[in-house]
Amino acid sequence: MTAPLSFDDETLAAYVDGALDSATRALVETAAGADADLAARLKAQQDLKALLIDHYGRVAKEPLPERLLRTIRDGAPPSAEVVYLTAGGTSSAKRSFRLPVWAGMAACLVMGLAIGRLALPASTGLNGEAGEALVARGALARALDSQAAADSSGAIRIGLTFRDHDGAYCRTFAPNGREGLAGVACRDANVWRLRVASPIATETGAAYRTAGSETPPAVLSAVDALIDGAPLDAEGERKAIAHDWRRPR
Amino acid sequence: MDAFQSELVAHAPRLRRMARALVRDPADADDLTQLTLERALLRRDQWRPETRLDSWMFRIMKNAWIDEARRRSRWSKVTAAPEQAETAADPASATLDSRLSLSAVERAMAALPDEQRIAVALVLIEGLSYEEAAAVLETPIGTVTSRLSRGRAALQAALIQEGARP
Repeated sequence: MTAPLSFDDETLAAYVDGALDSATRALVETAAGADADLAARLKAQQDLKALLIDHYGRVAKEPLPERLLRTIRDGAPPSAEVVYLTAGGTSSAKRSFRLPVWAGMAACLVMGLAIGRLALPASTGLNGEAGEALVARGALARALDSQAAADSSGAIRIGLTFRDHDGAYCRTFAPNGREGLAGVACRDANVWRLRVASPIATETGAAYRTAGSETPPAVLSAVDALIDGAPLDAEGERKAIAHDWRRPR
Repeated sequence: MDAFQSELVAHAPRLRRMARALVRDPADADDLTQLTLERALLRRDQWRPETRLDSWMFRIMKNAWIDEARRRSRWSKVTAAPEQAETAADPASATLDSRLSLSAVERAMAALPDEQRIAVALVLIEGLSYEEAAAVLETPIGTVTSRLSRGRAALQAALIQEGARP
């Protein structure tokens, strides 16, 4: 007589998951046939899986809610204020974002608002040449280059610093005053290219403001879409500044 | 609707199921599904047709799920007064008590640590292989199997305690 084979729960689970090779599978089946205790443990694993499949399977059988269907049909996020300011030029042709059809139109609108009506401080110096991603200049570039998030003394506040899916550093910025342009800029070679920009509302334009936050939803969404991993902490930010935003190996 | 969008429609019911396993509240789960679909549409040129669309979507969902949890605490840190920043805790904990109508299964799932819950959802509910789940989670297979083991044991214990199982 050989001693009965014993299997740990992980092996029994692997059996249930179909992850065992056929020889081990046969061994488990033979042993379970001869050992009521093993058979009960195996059944407990099978029951657990069946219970979960049954419970959550109902969700998969429900008709698709209309808003999800609409999301797929529309093919892009419905939030029209999200403007991805990627260039049509060669340097960012491999950017991960598809430019929604309406983006060009919306970009004109937002930049018109920003430069025309909301009148950014001249020193911020956004440069909006057609066909190129907007590059931060002047005070904005200086803040992006060297200002820590904790520093709120200047005309521009820096919010989050994070890395995007290509590994580039990105930072959110916002005006320190009541109005101006908030956005996300990402480091590309030696410049900061704006990936999204959105006006900060004054009281008359409160639609842009969410409760408890002056960060426009477009900027929040852009960070969500761009960010890879966690944002940098103060120490990470300090190091990135010290290394002139060169990507770590 | 093009072929990619049709594929999304076909996969959306499974995405919803996955989201429901991760997030207890049905409306929150559909929000997560919607965010996942939006991101998939934005990044559709990153999907390689020779790879499985469902695995790719699950990875997007996993990242969206993690980002969303981070985002809530992150933005409260950015916008909250400095002395409040440290209290920006896991948003999930705040809603635990308010879900009285949850079934025993959902309660047991909700009690799992996130990384065990997602491993259980991918393998037990969605039927992914260990290799596929490891690829979605971007972890070694051994990590997936050990999270599965702990998750299963915790689920068994919780369901027995709930009287949902003999």
